[in-house]
Amino acid sequence: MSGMLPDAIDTLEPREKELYIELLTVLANADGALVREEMAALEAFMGRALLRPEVREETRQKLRNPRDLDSLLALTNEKTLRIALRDSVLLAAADGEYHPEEILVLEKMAHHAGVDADALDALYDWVTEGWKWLAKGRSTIDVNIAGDELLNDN
Amino acid sequence: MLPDTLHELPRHERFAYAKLLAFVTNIDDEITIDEMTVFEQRLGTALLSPSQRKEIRAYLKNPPTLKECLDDLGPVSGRLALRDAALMSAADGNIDEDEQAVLEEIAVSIGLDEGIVDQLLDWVLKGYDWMQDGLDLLNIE
Repeated sequence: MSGMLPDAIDTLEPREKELYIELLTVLANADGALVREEMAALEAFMGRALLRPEVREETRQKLRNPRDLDSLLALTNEKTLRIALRDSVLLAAADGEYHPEEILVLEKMAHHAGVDADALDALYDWVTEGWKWLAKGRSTIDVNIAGDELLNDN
Repeated sequence: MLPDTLHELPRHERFAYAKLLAFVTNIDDEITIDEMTVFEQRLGTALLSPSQRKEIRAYLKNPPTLKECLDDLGPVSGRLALRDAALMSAADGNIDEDEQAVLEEIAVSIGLDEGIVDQLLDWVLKGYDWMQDGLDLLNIE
């Protein structure tokens, strides 16, 4: 097999990883409700970033009172912002729909990361492709969920 | 990777799922950073309590037997564990013979044809292509 790759998140410094995950907490809070799917996604992102247990605990605390988005954007470099934008779109999609408040946060993050509207639209399409890929995996093991039939047909 | 159905399963099945992944990380007697990142990612998705995660991480040093892992898995958690074991095993770019054999043994143990392992590994490769597309889209190096 070939073609495996480390993700860009692995190249971030610890401080940048903390800013990355804080940005995700802002997105998670954007619509005022944190559902189980979003919590599972956020925990997965923390795990993927190999954050230390104490940072994960701090992050869970911040979910109740996240920092102001503008101040976080001012502290974060462009590369970290772009990775956070990508994973924020995934996080926003975790419960099956994008809420207007989430879209506002995503658009602001994209603007600060130098990502234009077309690229942001392409990112939404990329997430849809990810849903299709996951549905294909579920279909392979015959563990389908509601809506998979639509993703597998298209 | 997005969450799907794992977080909806009973806690004891999510624990059994994570236990199997811990077993699989040990097949080739070394845990690479790539395997570890997928392992931690899936552990996060399983929404286990901190104490359960600690218990699961202890299995990385003292792995359970395959039978112990399989005994606690239900029909759905067993299939999700097989899928994610394939994802994790492939994370370092190599599936060695031992890993392939264990994945096939797991497949047969949960009532699936061993050929499903190759299908899952093809699926994993497509997933890594999808990830690369995301990086390319945003010019992230």
